[in-house]
Amino acid sequence: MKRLLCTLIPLSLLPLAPAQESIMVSHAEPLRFAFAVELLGFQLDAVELGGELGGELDDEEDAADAAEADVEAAEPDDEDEDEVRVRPVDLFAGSLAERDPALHHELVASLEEIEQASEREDQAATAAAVERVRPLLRRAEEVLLPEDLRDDPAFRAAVLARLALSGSGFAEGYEEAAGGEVGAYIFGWAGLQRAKALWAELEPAATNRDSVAEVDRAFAVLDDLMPSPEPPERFRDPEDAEVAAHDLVFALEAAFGGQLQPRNLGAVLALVDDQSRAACVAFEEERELLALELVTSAQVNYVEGIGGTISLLVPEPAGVIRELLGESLPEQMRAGERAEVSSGCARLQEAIAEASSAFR
Amino acid sequence: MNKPKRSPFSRLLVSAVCLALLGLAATAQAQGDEQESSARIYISNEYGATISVIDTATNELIDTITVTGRPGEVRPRGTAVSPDGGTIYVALSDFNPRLEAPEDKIVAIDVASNEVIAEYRAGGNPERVAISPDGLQLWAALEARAQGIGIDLATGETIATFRTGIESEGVAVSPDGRWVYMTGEASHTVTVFDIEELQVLKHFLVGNRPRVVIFSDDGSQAYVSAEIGGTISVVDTSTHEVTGHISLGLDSRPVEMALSPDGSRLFVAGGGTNAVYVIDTESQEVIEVIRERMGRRPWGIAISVDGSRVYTANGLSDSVSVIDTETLEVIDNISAGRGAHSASVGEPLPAEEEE
Repeated sequence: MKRLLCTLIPLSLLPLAPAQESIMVSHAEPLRFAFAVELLGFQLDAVELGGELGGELDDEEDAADAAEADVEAAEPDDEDEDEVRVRPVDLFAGSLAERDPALHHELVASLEEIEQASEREDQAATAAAVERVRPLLRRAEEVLLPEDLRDDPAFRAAVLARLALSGSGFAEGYEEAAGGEVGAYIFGWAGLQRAKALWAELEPAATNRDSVAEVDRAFAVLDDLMPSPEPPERFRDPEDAEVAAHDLVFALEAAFGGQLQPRNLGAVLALVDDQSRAACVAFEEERELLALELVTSAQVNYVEGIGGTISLLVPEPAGVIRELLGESLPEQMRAGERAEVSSGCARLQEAIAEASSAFR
Repeated sequence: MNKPKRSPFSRLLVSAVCLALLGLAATAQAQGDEQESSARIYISNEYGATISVIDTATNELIDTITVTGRPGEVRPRGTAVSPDGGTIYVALSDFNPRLEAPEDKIVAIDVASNEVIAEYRAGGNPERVAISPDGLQLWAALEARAQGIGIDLATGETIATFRTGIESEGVAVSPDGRWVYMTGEASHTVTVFDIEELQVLKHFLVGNRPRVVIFSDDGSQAYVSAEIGGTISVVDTSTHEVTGHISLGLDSRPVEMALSPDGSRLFVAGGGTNAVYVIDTESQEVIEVIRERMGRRPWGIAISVDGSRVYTANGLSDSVSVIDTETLEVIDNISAGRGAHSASVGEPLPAEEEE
């Protein structure tokens, strides 16, 4: 595998990130851990209220694909499925297993208990399992996050921004519910509550006090959209949640002086490249769980950050990347198909290198 | 400038409206005598479901056009005015972008009578519209479908639909009528559609979350505002390539833009900073940031025909700020409707309609 990687186009061909890069890129790994823990935390809240444990990435290529069906002149894009499901735990399971195998085992087992109890519609057992998971999650966070970041306001603000803007975040929960998937509402509401709790901890540390009012205003709009755990009788424009989420993130950026959302798409692709290469190396080293974590993370960053853009600008490599990150590689890694993974990794690096032309 | 045809066709045109127009002709004429001696600014009010009409001679609100009696359910956003100033086109949609509803349409409003004289079904949550320089075509961004659509205003027939970037939003037609530029908000792109060949020429990358695109009067350049990028991308329209980015700051959140008649200054509504950015188009530098007395969240912006005043649609203060382009100061704030969104300027009506 190492020999194979040496023959691939080097990362240096990708555009370099600017000096001041989004925290999403500059602190990609700890942000992934912290976000996934928070995501799982509010999903547990939702589960206690009757929600179904899981996760879903918003796929911005859907709209383009839908348009394609109606537009004669449109060029073919790809035929990928409409949505990608990612469990939050998949975003840190490999790292946790390597750092604290016992905790990982206990956490995964407890999450399975929740799923089983939830499927049986056994509320008491579900609630009990959820309560067992909560302290495990806190321990996992301590294991995964460097101590200096755990209480760093800018970093926590970035986590909050991810809760707002991610395809698994609270604005998306409202948007999906307003679009007809009412079951998603409870996740939007629970995510919003967690975001407000995070903000309450962060607010005293805001360096730009003028922005505090803007954050509060954005939360007020979101509260108005999601006033209670019960879905409203009539949903408002889903864009209202999206706009308020963006308002929130812009205000957080002003409050803490950092870039909390990516602006350099080339840097996001470079991150996807880094993570997928690391996944391939981890698999080569027989660290399958870590490999799966990394390929899943690369997939999340690709789909949420740049997939739609690359599909439009360079559709051929986009199709290859989506297929490999979203389907083939994870499946082959789970199945232990070493030759196929090796071949897929090579094709993925080539496709990413080709896709990087979109940002030159 | 060619005088446009004034016979927009509508599949949904209701004969009763025509009768009403005839019946109200005398009244409308009387209104016209009073109101149409100068250019107007039209402000769409997203939540009030109205259009505020401002006389640029007096800077007064002279009318409020009710676009729909269902505020909160149907919203007007992007607007465009016919070259003769007689018709304003308004993109309407419901509040659920995923739903293809009858409300997803573009209405043509006769500004003399304030009556809807034509409707064009678009579908797909139309957000912004542009009129071709000859006044014969309307082009709209269908946000929910990641498409653009062109409509022949005389026949109401669809000229073309085409794929754009994701969440299409801003749209402009080049002054020579050859190109449609359409922004893709979530793909950070601009799509170039060739009206002559009726096909997409290319998509190209601009700043993050591009909102609005406008052409310079000579058509040599286009400007694209990027909300998350905090930039204005400058495009060479001969190659359809970005030649530079003008930075306004990450918190600026630029949306609509207006060029001075001589093309020397670009005024940009900065929704994030409650400011208007003034750019020298030759040096491509910000020469002034107007904040004092500005309304909250300027989203829309238009400049008077003579270039002496800039008007901003302020979404959070439901107002219009008036800027003197000589002093670059806010000289007035005018009440608008709820959720002021977009601003367009309309030429004075043709002389025969004023008499």
